[in-house]
Amino acid sequence: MPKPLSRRAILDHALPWLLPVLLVVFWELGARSGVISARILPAPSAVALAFWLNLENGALVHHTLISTERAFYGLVIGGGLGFVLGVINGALPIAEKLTDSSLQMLRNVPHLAIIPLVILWFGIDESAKIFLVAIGVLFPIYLNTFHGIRMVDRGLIEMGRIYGLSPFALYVRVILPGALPSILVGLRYALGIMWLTLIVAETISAQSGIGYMTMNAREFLQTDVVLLGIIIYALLGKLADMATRWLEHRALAWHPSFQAAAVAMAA
Amino acid sequence: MNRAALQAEPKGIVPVTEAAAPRPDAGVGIRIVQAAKAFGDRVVFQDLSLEVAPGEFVAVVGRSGCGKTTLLRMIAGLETADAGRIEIARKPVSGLRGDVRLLFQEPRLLPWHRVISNVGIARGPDWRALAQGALVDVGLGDRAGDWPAVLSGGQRQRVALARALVRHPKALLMDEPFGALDALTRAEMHKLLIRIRREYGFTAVLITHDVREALTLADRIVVLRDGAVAVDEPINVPLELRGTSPRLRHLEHRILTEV
Repeated sequence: MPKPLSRRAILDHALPWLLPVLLVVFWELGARSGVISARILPAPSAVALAFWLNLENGALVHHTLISTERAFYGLVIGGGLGFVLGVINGALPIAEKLTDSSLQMLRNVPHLAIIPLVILWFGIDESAKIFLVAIGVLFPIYLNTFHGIRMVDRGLIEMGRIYGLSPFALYVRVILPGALPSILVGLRYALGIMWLTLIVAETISAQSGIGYMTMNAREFLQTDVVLLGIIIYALLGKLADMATRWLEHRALAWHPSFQAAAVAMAA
Repeated sequence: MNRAALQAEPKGIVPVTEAAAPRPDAGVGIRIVQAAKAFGDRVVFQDLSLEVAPGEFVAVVGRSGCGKTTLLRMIAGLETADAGRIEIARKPVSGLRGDVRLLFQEPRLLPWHRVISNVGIARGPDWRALAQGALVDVGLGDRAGDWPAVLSGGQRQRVALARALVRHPKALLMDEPFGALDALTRAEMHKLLIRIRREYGFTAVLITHDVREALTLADRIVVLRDGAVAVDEPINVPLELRGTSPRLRHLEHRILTEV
């Protein structure tokens, strides 16, 4: 920030970090003095060392990239499908009649429960993981897109018709922007489910990715690498969340309640 | 009714527009002939006839549920009559028209578009310049780049008015456009509407339940009761004198007993 911070502002910024920092300090002290066994919980410095070693030999980057790639493809395929279904069902009542109850039924099947089936279909191939992620993100995006479109103010749509907007222009300028806050909520849900699904899928059946790296380390009792994998997941999740917040910030600049929320978030 | 009668009428009853001298083609005549409309079992009106001359300003008052909003939506082409005819410029209304604009109680602005894009919502050639011109006309020339969310209620309604004015409508249909505004803002909006109407010369139909508002703005007042015209009376008082006119005091009293 360009402005010099007041003492109050520094305190405000530092306070949320106080507990985590204290925790790490006590954890390190506990591990070094032998109160905490290294097999249960290696010291933070050991995790940092594992991070450094894995970074140096390229394993960390390799696994992270592969995980991110799976997450990305799954999100694009499942999210894209959910979005298109939401738009079609939001626009055409007949499409909604045709597909919505089936989709609601499928939605109620926990997508992780179909892992055995997915393994039978795809083996432990890349497509198995991508398929699972896609199924996981499809429903939150579908539901929120559909709901968002249904909730758009009828008065605005009528106004658009009165002013002679074509159906396409009506969609692009009135309906989709009106549904966008809800669609972005769906995206944030979807991102959470995306990482969760990926962790499970990679731990069960994979030869690469963070989940595999973690499971592999467990076999060799490398608790530090297991912890490292968990931290990487946390960071990736946080990164995805930050990306959506940034997107919301850009796309919903007009939204008065969002403006207020953004101020509160920055404070 | 023939054309001569339609055009002769406003001259007799609208002395106030002489000063403004609107272009003769600026407004269109509106005719409703024996219209009937029902929603399911609820009959809104069965045999309603009403005529508005080109350039005339008619206020329609009545209690809620008397069918005044339905009437306006039928003129706009948003509802179809079950029977009877509705004509604009002597042609039957068969849907929305680009030269008939509506103003609702809510401004219905797109919150994700800036003021200028809202005013120029219909786009088309030169929309930006036209929208800016309309904004200047309603006194908001400097707010083109703002989000609607930062404007006051009265300002938003003025933006909605500007949006209706782009490309000079031949008729402006208003459904309680000032109903949600406070008294001071409403008085400002009345002044603005009187000025705008002098400049643009469109035909105006104002739906309101506020008899005094009707008597402040219109050339003619129509009371709808039980789906029929109960009173149809020219106001015949120059706009400048309306605050003090004894005739208006009398007319207001009469209308209030009729509504």
